[in-house]
Amino acid sequence: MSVYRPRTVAQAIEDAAAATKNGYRFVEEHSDAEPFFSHGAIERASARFGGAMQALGLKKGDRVALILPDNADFIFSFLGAVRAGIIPVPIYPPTGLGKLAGYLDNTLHIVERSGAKVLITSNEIKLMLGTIAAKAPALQKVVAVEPLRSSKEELKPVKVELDDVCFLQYTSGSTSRPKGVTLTHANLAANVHSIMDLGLGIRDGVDSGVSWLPLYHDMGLIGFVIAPIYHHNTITFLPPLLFLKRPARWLDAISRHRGTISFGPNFAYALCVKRIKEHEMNGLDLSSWRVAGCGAEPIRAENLKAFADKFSAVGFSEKAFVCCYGMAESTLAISFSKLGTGIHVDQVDGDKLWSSHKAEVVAEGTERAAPIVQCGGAFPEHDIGVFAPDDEEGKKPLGDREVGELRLRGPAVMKGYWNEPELTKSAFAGGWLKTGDLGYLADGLVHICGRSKEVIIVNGRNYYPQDLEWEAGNVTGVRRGNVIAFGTMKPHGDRERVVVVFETMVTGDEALHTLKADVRKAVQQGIGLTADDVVAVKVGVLPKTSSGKLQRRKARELYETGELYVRTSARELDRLDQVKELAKSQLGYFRTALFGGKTED
Amino acid sequence: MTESSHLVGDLGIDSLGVMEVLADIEDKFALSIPDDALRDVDDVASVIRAIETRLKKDGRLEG
Repeated sequence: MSVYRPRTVAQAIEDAAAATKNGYRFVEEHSDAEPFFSHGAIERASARFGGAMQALGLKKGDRVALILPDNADFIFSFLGAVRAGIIPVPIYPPTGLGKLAGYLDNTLHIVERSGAKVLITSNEIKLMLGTIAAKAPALQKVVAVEPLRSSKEELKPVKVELDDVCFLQYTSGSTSRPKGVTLTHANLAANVHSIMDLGLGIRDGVDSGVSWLPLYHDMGLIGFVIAPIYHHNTITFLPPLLFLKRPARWLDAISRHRGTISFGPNFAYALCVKRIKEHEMNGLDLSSWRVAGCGAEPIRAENLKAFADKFSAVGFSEKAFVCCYGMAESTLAISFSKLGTGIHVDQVDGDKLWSSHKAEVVAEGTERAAPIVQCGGAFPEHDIGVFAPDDEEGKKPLGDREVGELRLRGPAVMKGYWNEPELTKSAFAGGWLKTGDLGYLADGLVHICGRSKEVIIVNGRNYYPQDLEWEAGNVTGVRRGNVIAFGTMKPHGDRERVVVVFETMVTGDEALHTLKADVRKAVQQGIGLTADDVVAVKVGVLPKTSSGKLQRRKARELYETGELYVRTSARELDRLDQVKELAKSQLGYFRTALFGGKTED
Repeated sequence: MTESSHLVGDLGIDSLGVMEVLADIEDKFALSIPDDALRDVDDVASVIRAIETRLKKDGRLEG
């Protein structure tokens, strides 16, 4: 481990170019060529792209939006912009399955909010974006990336400093609208140091990584594009869609290139167990893989263990697993479980976890035992605290094994959301960043048991229930405003199941079947998320507070216990609804007036 | 299941499922279907069209 000295990303690119012959390798689906760019070549390619952006009129501090599905295009554009002091704004490219309208809406929001002057994309996506330039006032040009690849423009030197903004990381959806996490070079240098030196014990120039992770997501971009430049590691990239289509290609790349480091969300490991066939394991050798990181969505120990069981036959060691906690607002990583020790599960009393907010240890196999995966402790110079979710002062941290909201302090924590002073203010409490995650510390080690923000995480992406509910509420036959969406952790398969429950007057099996299909379709097309279960209930069944607010957590409990289905005619709701319903009958009205109604809370 | 069955709405296949079906189709027909073809896929008929288009391109299906 070398002595830590913070450097800008721009400086790290130049240092790497002078020092090593390692670099980036790009696996392509239909070719065995696997083009390789040494750090010297990366320096030159990024200089060309940076020069081309300067020639487009972009100056230090300007924002440039990048929608680039090709890994090499994305990386060189991104690094080129950073070297020119231009602030890149990565946006995810459109995928298939007919959800273009929602995609365009999101993209326009990010372009507008970031104030991007130029958007760089492929020729094909440029056509799909259509008139987006006309709708975003600050956006001057939409530029195709293809001509930039052969640009001859030279990068004019720009002084880039640690406190300059390096890039904006738009997080997927906050009640329908993404927010731009503003990351400085100092944030990145601090987190890269934590990850590579302190967390993973990276050997400069020796360890080599393999990644299929999307580069518009923090784990792929910071973990596998930026951090390895600081530490001179070779990285082999695969297109994300290739991994989803043929998961075996991920392990094949690790095997062939003797990869030592690779990360994936929980679902990636589960997908390998489910999809990789016996014959695809022939010749695989995973013995070089010393860090198999897992993060970005809730970790289920049984999925990781199933992966280890299946692939130990080809040299994989369960001890390679590193369970990670992180979020974009803290650059990328918050804590890692201890290197080389595998998965650690804390068995706690599931009932007491939620009723008395205490994580009490119980014996494994006990009926109430809830397995909680341990994700390690805070990095040096960083603090993790647990607070009551409504503690806005942040002055009364909870004790060991007390459940509350996890909050963070330290040099990797963002200064704020770009151009969103109100949202930034509400993201902090007394100098602590509020993560929205519920959990506890045991001997200083992080355990996550849920989320206070009701976010649904599927395949590493965040979805907000309000978005799903809004889409479902637009379907004819659905009672708008009477839709609840939630994720359930009930142990079904390999991830959180997404459930949409709506109230309707429609009756009859066939009509309800059609209506449910319409809701599923609307959610898929609007959000790009497939609901695992769509449930139609009669009017008045969904739980609400006395003020008429939907109760998502309650709905989830009712769903999990099966009570939701029993409540078909029960009008055990808030008083206002009861009055409205019962007013139809004088008798009912009197009864309510005299005896009061049953309320939820 | 009919030609107008929607992959997501009617058959409940999610985006990971679509990628799995795609891989199976590629293996079965010895074809390669580019990622951007996904944008034209929503129901069973569109999957059949995607296969036919590529078989014709290879000269393996009379058009």
